[in-house]
Amino acid sequence: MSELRDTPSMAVKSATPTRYSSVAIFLHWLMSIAVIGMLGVGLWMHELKNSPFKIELYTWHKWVGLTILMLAVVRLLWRVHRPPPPMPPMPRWQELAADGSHYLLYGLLFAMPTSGWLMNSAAGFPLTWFGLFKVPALLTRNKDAFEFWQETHELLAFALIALICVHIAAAIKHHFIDRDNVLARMLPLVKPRKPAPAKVGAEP
Amino acid sequence: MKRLFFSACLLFCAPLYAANFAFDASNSELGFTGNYGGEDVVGTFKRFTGNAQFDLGAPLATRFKTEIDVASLDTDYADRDDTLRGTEFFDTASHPSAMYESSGDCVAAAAKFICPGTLTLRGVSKPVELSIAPSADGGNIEGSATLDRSHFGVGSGEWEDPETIANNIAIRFTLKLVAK
Repeated sequence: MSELRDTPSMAVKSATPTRYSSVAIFLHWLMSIAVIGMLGVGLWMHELKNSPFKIELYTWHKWVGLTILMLAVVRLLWRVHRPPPPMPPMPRWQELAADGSHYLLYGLLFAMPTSGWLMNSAAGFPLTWFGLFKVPALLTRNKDAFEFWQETHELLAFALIALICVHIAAAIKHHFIDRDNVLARMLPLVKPRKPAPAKVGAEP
Repeated sequence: MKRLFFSACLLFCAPLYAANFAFDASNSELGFTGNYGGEDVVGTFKRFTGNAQFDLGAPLATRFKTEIDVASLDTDYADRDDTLRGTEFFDTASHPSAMYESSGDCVAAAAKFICPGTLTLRGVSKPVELSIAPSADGGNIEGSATLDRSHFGVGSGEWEDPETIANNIAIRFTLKLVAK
């Protein structure tokens, strides 16, 4: 990967990027809208009285969920191809927390749609992605499995909500309190802040 | 006609002169297939009773009668079953049972009998034709019918649109008959 970044044209700009690539930024914000929307709709829709509208909502929830799963694959591959820009110096515990929460966020980007897919499979519902492709069932129809995956899907949703809150709170804290570059790296059309004066001895 | 007699005989000759049969509930099945948004939804009625009258000398006069406990429907998904039992579908609180009775004026078509009759469902009585034939092993009767849910007011209000739920519902059954 480093060979790619060290191509002459890139080297002219800077040796290490200070921001996420535009593809990563696009995927991040697209998925953030989709994921937060899905969590909101998910919490709301299962309370609804059964109606064609409810079934339509569920169908869209499944289609969007599968799309998020595909985007998560693309995003992970992209992250391997273009590793994120370095974080500004920060205490060790914050680095660990940032790494840990990003691993969890990625894990949930896969686990949420997958648990939903498993749940749908166990319920025996046929699923055609946006009416275009038949989505194979991952399980055979099974009530116990359905209940297990339903429970799992719900628990993971609450875990994801909590994690997103931490993620947003950390971004805001870094931007407005630490006044560092953490959030700016992921903002479209925003120039990164001038690096803070190097702190001696901040190297991990 | 000969073939029909032969088929009928496979079914009924064992208890040769018995003319009245009851459905053996544990070995009989009554199911339906609807279509929601292009996808099939399959269900069964777990509880139904019935009988058949058959006379070897006049097989076309075979008659069936069945009473179905509508609330025993099962589509293998509890929320959907509850919705189906509700007022907009079967309204099982007001109409707990459905009844089918054939008139005994069957006609032979290929290796099948086509038997007209009346279905009373959700308080509405309409003619429904059964197509029946012996099963491949001869031990059961297999049959099917198609009915229009809108004729019986099954799926009203926001569920009425046939673009969402097709009006045609396929019924299929396998009956094990035991001599009475």
